[in-house]
Amino acid sequence: MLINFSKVSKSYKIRLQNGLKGFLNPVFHRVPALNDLSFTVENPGITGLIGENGAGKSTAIKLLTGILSPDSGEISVLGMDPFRQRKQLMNLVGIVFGQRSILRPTIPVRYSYEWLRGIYRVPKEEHQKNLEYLCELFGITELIARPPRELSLGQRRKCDIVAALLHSPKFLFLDEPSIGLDFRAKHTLRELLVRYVRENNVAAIISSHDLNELENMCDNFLIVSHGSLQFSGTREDIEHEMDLNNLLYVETEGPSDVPIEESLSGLRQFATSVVQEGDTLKIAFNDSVDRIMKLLYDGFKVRDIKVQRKSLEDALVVGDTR
Amino acid sequence: MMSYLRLNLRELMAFRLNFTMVFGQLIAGTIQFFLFWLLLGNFSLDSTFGSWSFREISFIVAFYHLNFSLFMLLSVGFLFLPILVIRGDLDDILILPVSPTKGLVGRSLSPDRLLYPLVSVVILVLALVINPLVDPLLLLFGILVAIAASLLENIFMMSFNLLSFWIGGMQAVVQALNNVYTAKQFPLDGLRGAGRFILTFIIPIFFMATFPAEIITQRITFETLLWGVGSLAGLLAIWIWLFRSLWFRGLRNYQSGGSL
Repeated sequence: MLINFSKVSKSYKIRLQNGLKGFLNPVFHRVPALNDLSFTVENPGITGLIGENGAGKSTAIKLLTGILSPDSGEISVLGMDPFRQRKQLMNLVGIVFGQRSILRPTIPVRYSYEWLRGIYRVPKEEHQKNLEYLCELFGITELIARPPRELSLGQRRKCDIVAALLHSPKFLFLDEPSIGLDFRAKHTLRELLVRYVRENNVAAIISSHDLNELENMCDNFLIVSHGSLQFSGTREDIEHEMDLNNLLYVETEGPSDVPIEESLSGLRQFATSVVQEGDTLKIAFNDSVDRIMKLLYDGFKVRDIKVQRKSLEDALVVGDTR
Repeated sequence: MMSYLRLNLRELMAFRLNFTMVFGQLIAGTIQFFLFWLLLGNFSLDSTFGSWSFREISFIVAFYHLNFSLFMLLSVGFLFLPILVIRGDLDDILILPVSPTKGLVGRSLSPDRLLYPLVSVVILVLALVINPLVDPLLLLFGILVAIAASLLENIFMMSFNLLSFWIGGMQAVVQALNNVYTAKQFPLDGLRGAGRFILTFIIPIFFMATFPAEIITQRITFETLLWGVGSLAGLLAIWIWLFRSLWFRGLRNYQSGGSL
């Protein structure tokens, strides 16, 4: 097992009042961030850690990387206790916080990479090989001669990610890696990360509140809400669990030679629901789309078909409102 | 540490003015010390300050500078800790496979600071020039005691910085303590009673310059020497234990910076 996160709770101490009142009589309060959160990661691949703002995603990642210590519960990453064995663990993992950068802003990026080589004690040849591979993969060969302050946010983020990969980590933790990036940069970053993870057979946890961003890149999902695990599994599991249907909007020109009731009952065998509104059929389905299409063309004179594929976001919003 | 040093040198060289001014500061500080030295020379070397002749005081000046050099090398990084803790910026150190102490020291280990101990050596050599009859063994022992005392000062100040995991605004307290520590440049053996006790055991300043200078100038008995070295070793052991314990407990109490 790569990660075992068992019944972990964490709370933060916050000051209730500021200003003069808070100065004269400071009152502190503990706010729970995680409540008995449990999950495991068994295999390499990408796990998406999803949740709304304040759900506890960053806290979970900081606990997994030993930056924070839990109030209760047990955490094991690659067989190590992250808080007590942080130094050893950091040699095996790579960490990117979307809001932070480990690169020194005023000197060329490659100098920061050289510094990291010394910190991680990577042999020169191995470092050079990794650097060439990563620079080519992420398309930053030209950029590393420039200081981060002269780069765009997207370029800088790529350089940050390469910095986290230079020592060939076995596990990657990425906390909102694409925050602030435009849609094109997000898309590119997503593809590059997926390619790196697949090519190098590493495991990664990526946190984001943007479900659409993670939907197509993750093998598994952990959905956290108010510090507790709401769901864990693959996309198919989510669809199944949350009864997530895709929708077909079919405009017809009336029934074909087959009686309409016979056609509708045929459709109902494979669809989750079939609703007829005038000439339009609204068909919700999970799978068997080929059979549904055949029945549609056999039983109706089809004028137009629109498919609405529900996203994870839809599933979770539905899940929330239940 | 070499990786940090190289990186910090490169960062320093990013702006020529910055680079020049950092070394300019070192030069200005050194000139200030030598002006003080020249000032001492205007007095008769056999005049006294309390029971100390100005010849003997030259050792206190040398050890004071040695303390200062080691402080600049080791503790300066820790002065940023209160701010790093409040902002959650300690994360940048904790994600690296280094001890947080090494990370903090390395982060601000600027190459100009390596030159400070060299200046200390020059001052010590000057002190030896005007005190030619010093026993070499006592000199070596005095230097070792001064280095141990400097370590004590650094660990003492670092430990106070570590309290920022619990108390906001510790930088003001550390600054105040730093100001008290400037008293180490004066001969403190004249102090008696509570003052002596406080400056020896509570805020251990006595060991920094006065004690090693006392050893070199043979102003103390063997029993006093043993008592002093024993106290220094004991204080060092206590403060190292406290320092490690504060780090561990402090990191447990660290709250990072929300989702930043």
